[in-house]
Parts: sequence; structure tokens; C-alpha cells
Amino acid sequence: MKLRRQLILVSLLTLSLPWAGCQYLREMEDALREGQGRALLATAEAVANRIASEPTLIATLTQNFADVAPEPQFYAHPFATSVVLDGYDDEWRDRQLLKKQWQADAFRASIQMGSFNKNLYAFIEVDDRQLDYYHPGQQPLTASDHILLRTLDRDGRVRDFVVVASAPGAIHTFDINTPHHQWLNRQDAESDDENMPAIPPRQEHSIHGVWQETSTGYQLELQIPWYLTQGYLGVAVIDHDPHQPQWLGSITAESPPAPLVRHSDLLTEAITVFAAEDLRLRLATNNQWLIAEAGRLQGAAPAQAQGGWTSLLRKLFSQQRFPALDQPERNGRLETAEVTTALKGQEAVEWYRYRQQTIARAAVPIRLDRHIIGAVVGEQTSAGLLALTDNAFQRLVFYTFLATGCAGLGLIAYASWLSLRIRRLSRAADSAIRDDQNLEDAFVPSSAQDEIGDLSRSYNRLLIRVQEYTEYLRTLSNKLSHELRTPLAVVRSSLDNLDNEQLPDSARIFAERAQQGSQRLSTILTAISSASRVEESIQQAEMNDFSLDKVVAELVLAYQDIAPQNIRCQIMPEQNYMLYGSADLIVQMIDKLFDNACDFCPPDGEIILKLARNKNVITLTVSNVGPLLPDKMQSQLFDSLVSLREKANAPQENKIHLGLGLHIVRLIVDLHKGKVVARNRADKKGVEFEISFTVNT
Amino acid sequence: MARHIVIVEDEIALAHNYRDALTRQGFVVSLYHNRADALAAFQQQLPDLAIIDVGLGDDIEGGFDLCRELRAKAPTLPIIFLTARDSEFDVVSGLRLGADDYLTKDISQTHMLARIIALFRRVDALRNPQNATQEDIIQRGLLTLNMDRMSAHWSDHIVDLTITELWIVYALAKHPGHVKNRQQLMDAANVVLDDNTITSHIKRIRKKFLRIDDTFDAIQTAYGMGYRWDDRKS
Repeated sequence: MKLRRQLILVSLLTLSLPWAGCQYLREMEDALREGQGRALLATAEAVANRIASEPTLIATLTQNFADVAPEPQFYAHPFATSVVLDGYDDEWRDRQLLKKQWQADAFRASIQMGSFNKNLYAFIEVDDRQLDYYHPGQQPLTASDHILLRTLDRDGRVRDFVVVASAPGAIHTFDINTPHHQWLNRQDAESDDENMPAIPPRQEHSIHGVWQETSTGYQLELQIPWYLTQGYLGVAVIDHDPHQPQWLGSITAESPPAPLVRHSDLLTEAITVFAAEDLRLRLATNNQWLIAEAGRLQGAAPAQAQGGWTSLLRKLFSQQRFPALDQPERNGRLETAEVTTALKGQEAVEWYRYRQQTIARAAVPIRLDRHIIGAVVGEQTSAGLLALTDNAFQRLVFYTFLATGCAGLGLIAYASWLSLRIRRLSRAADSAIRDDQNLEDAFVPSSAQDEIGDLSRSYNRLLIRVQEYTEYLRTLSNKLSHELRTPLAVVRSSLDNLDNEQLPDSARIFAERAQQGSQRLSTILTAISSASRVEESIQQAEMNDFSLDKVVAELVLAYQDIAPQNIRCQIMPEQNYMLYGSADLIVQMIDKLFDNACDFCPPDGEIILKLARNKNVITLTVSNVGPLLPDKMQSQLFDSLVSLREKANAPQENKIHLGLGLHIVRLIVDLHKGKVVARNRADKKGVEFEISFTVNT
Repeated sequence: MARHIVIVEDEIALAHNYRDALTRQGFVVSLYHNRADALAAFQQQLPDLAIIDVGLGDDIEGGFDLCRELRAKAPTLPIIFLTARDSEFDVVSGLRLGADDYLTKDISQTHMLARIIALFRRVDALRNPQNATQEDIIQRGLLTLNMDRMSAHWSDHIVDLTITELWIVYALAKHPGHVKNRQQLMDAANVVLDDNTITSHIKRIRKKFLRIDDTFDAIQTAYGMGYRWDDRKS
């Protein structure tokens, strides 16, 4: 992976900035929320203290319905308007109240209640397969489907009313003056029991209602004056059946009515003082009935209406998933955990979802002499909080994206710069190694003070070392031949002198051998220093235009005379082979290649010199039949002192191979800015050397 | 009177060998091993020939300096460099300083003696031009070679060739049109040189002729074979 790409990947780490920001925001939001919760608790506390300090309020809170089991109790939902008694549920449907329901097989009953002004309203729905209407005069009241309303009278005695209907429409209510079951028994026995006061049922006109048939049974809407109930009401629905009448409702045949639960105006008034914008206060009785409510919650938060993407991001980053807010106004119950906790004596705060915002609900117990008599429930949306954090969130998103962008761009730029420097360094190092030119020109060490600068400088030092070493190697052969030449001259001149001495023939033969040996040594020294002499002559070469094809043709003629192999010349006709260079050196180069080819080519083999021109590239190829190039060291073939010759055919020839020939070839090719390639022939029968020169014309 | 040859050579064994060889040929030889001794001796008496090594002990270029001073003192004294250095640069520098010839140390004694005798011949010829009666003269077009005087003329202008160069020209011009390869030229010049040195000798010879006549092209290259003298045009 390139450095730049690596750094781009690393720059992705800056994306953790927005994450960290969101994390921070969330914590901030948590802190704010906690603060809001505390504030809300404090408010609720104040309300609780206020209520606990007012005897009348305490009395209201602890009235009859507050201390009994809530199951049989009815909750009279406060209605803002009057109810039109028509037997239809128009007023009830929209309120979505939770009905109290009972069921026995197909016989079902459900009741909901509301309160407006001085009346209690009830809506009763009954599923009954067979409707038995009341026929006045023919039947007793109980021989029809009827509703039993049980209240208490002023003296606390049970008072039962029976509601019947003769047909869909207005109902009839009778005060039966005796407890229903007794009265029922009496009716059933149809006997004149002397013990029982035979008070006939009296029609009660203050209870109104309308009875309507439905597809599954009937429903009726009742209006009962509050005074009539004395705060107590039990309701039962009785399905008439001669053999087995069925009974459903909040009361059994003999149980007393349970206290009705209704909102207290007094308490409502007391807490309204505390209620504020976006703060809803509620009071719960000890048995968790909602009996007072003040204040309204804000609707949808304005902040939520804003740009979809921020809310989307918020959703992404917000981990909290609160439960939906319950609706005590539908059944009058405050039964959530915090209220329960509060009623056990521990104040608590819980968070809920309300529409699209979160809402805090704090519950604080109201104490009276260490007894808990109820709870204050305060609710507040986090609209303000939300607006604050939303704003912060938006800005955070903006700033972090800006910062990430800047950091990313900066890193990319930095990475590019860095990789540019490194690339430049490596290119400079490459060219310094490749080119034979002066090191000072090829490699300028950086003056930067950082690690790359250090690298560049140490590279420079390394290259200088390498150059020194190369220089040393280059002059080594020269120095060596120079140093060896003097002692060799001593040997040779001594031998020459020896020739003139009177030596016995037996000694003379040794002198001759020594002479031959020193001759060979001299040849070797000449060969060693010849490479450096070629370099010198290259430096002093005189360049002029000459025709390469003529030179090659002449050379081939010359070679044909001296080499045993079959020499062929292929020159692509009608091409311009004018080349700017030194003909002498080119000849020398071809000589070396030809020598090389001769050495490897068997005597009956074929050596081909080809000259061709393609556009402005002149290609000279010397190819010979013979052994192939070994795979290794092919690239070093043209280096000084590298010879890939097999030792096997060396001894019989009295020639030395120092690997200088091809090195000289390369020097000459380089001088002419050409290229030389050694490779095995395509037919795998031999080797070819290809030299290409680029010409301008 | 025997000719007096001075050898300035730091390698004592080599110097003695040369002295023995030259003495055997009837020369009087003096040996000096460094520049100061040689210079002191030259103050006393000039020899007939000086053979100088380029590197004298630690004095790497001492021979060159000595040659310069000697040449200043005696403009016509024959001087031969005999050295292990065989680089083109050294050869050219030596000849520029006014040496008459430049030999490498691996030259055989026979070759060296041939050179020395040839050099003396030239010196004698220059001193006594009237003595030349039966001279070995070759005339090829504008070229006149006098091998007794060791001199070359191109259309009456003297061409300042060294002995090596003179022999090369002689070998070429003796049989015009014949290609002489490098080995033959080397043999003719009594030198052991590699091909490149021959090439550069040829180059230098051409330049010397061109200085006199800028249309000179009598020495032609036969690629792969050697050189030939072709003066048909001139």
C-alpha cells in the first residue's frame, strides 16, 4: 500500500472526533436531564409539602375512596362538557377511556363513567344474545334484562336501584327499597313474607338514561345525580333467564358498593398554583387513583421540526430508548414504577417518550405523620433541553465535519508531500546508482532537519562510499598492472641479460621457459589495463557522422577471412544508417561481440550480423549458434570482470577471459546512448546480442 | 668515443639490468636513482641520451619534472621515457614535454636497443646533414621518409613524428594499398602495445599531417583489418 493511501486510512481516525463529540453531547444531555429531574423533584416536593400542610387538602386526599382496594371502584373521568343522553357512544368514543369489563361466556358487559357538573354519567355496553324487555304489569322487574345500581343512603345503608327498559329508548329506574337479593328472593318466592316490609318499588325520576339495541346486545347511557350516590356506586348487569339468570358487575349479590373516584376540585385548585408552562402536576391517592391534574405539556417540540438529517443523526447517536408514556387519563390509574416507588416512601424520576420528545416524570410521596397519603407526580418535557442539545448537536456536527475535513485534507496534503519527498529521494538514489555521471549532479542531499532529510543525507554518504569504492575498483586493475609491471620488467630484463651470458644448454631451457612465462604475464597485464584504456579513449573519442552499414559490411569481409565459422551479414537494404559517433569505437565494439560469438560458436556454426532500421532506431544484432546463456547473472553480463564462460573450453585456448570484452561493449554503447541486450535466440539454438541506437534523422 | 647514456630509474635491479645490457652494446652508462642526483650530474656534464622513469620513488611525477628541466637546459638532447605507466594521458604528457620517445617497461631489450640506435641515428643525421649520401629514402606522393635521418616530410614540410610514429608511417607507406593490421604495425614500431594505443597513434599521426595539409587522407582505415596507405589522390 502506498504511503498516501496508508495516511488516508489513518486520517479516517479523525472520524472518531464526531463520535467523541456525540458521546460528550450525550453525557451533557444526561447531566442536563438529571438536573431537570432534580428540579422537577424539587417542584413536586414543594407541592407535596403544600398539600401536607393544609388539613382540608389532606382530608380530600384521604377521603373514603383513597384507602380501599381499587378493583371494584369506578373512576369518574372528568368531562369538560355535558353528555347528551341518547344511548350512543359519541361522547365516549373519542376519549378512548379504558372500560371496566366482565365476561361470562357470550354474556359480556363493559362500563365507563364520567363526571360533569353534578352528574355522574355511565355508558354501559352489554353483549346479550336474547334481549328480555320489561313488561310493566305483567312481570316483576327482575323478569327482564336489567341493571342494578347499588349506592348507600344518607345513613350508610345499601340502596339498590333497578334500571329496566320496555323498549329501546328511555329507561325506567326503580328504587326497590330493599336490598336486591332479598327483594329478588321475595319476588321469586312470590310469597307474602310478613317479616319483610312490603315496600313496593318506587320509580326514581332523577336517574335518566336511554337504552339502545346493538347488533350484539344493547347499550345504555345513564345520568345519575351525584347526591344520589353518596359517593358510592356498584353496578351489576343481570341477564334474565328463567332457569339461570347471569350476573356481571363490580358487585356481587351481597357486597356493598365501592366508593366512586372523582377528581377533586379543591386539590386541582391547590396544585394549579404550581403548574406552569410545560409542567403538569398530578396527584395520586394512596391507592394510585389520579384525583387532580393541572398544567399542560408542550406539544411537539419545535426543534424536532428542523432538518431531517440532524434528527436522523441524533437517532443514530442517541442510545436511550425510553418507554412510551402511559396515559392515566384513560383509566385514572397512576401505576407506573416511580409512582409505586413514591407511594412506598421513595421519590423517583423516570423518563418516557411522549410524542417525539422525552418526558421526565418525578413522583414524590406526600407524608402525614410518617404515613404516606398520596403522591405528587410532576411531568415535564425535555423540550428546552432538547432545543439546547439539538442546537449544540447541529453545531457539533458542523464543526466536527469541518475539523475532520480540514484534518483529512491536511493529512492528505502532508502525505502527498511526504511521499513526494520520499519518491524524489528514491528516484534520485536510483538515478545516482544507474547513471555514471557525477554524484554531485545526480544526488543533492536534502537539507531538511527531519528523518527524511537524515535518510537523504545518509543515502548521500552511502552513495559517496559506493562511488569511492567503484572508483577504487575501476583504478585497481590499472594500479595493479602498473605495480606489477615494474617487477615484471626486472624479471624480463634480467632474463634478457641472461641470454647474453654463457649458459649451459640445460640452464638455457629454463631461461627460455621463464621468458615465455613473463611474456604471458605481460599480455595479461596489458589485457587488464585495456579496459581502463578504452574508457580513456572513449573520453577522448572524436565523434563524427559515419555510415554504419559500410563499416559492418567491411568488417564481415574481414571476419570471413579470419574466422572458421560461417559468417553471414544481413543488412536491411535501402535504409539510412548514418550514425553520429566514433567509427573506431563502434568497430571495437563489434570486434568484441564477434570475438565473443566466435568463442562460443562451434567451428561449423553460423554467426550472423544483422543491421536493420525501424523508424529512427538502428538495430545491430550479432547472433551465434552455441550454448545458451545461464539464467543467473544475465543482468551482470556487461559488468566489468564478469565472465560466464564455462571453464571446460578455456584450457586449450591460450587466451584469458577477464570478462572485460562485454564491459567494453557496454561502455561504447553507453557513449552512443544506445542499448545493449543479451538474450537467448528465439529458436533456442544460440545467443544473440542486440544493440540499438536512436538516431535523429 | 663511446656514447654516454644516463638512466634515471628508482628500481635499482631494473636499472642495473638496463645498464648491463647497454654496456654490453658498448655504451657508457651512468645510473641515478632520484631527480636531485640526476640533476646534479646534468649540471656537470650532459649525456648523449637520457632514459628517464616517470615515477621516481615518492616523486610520482619526478620524471616529467626532470625532463622539463633537462629540455630547458639542452633543447636537442634525446630523451626517452621508460616507465610502467602506459596510459594514454601519460604518453601524451611525456611527449608534450619534449621527450623523443615513450617506452613501457615491458618492452624487450632488443626492441629497446633498436629504439635507442634509431634515435642516435636521427640525432646524427640532424647534426651532420652533409654525411647523408646513401640514405634510405622512400618517396610516396608528397611524403618523403628518410629512415636514416629518421625524419618525415610532407611536401617539403618536416612532419614532427616520434620514432614510434615514424615507424608506423614507414610500415604503411612502404607498400601503399596494402592493409597492415595492428600487429604488423606494432612489430614495425618495435613496441608491444594494445590495439587502442595503435589506434591513437594513427589518430595522432593523421593530426600531425593534417596540421600541414588539411586535405590529408592518405592513411585509411580498413575496418576489422587495419590501415593502409593510399595516396593516389595526392
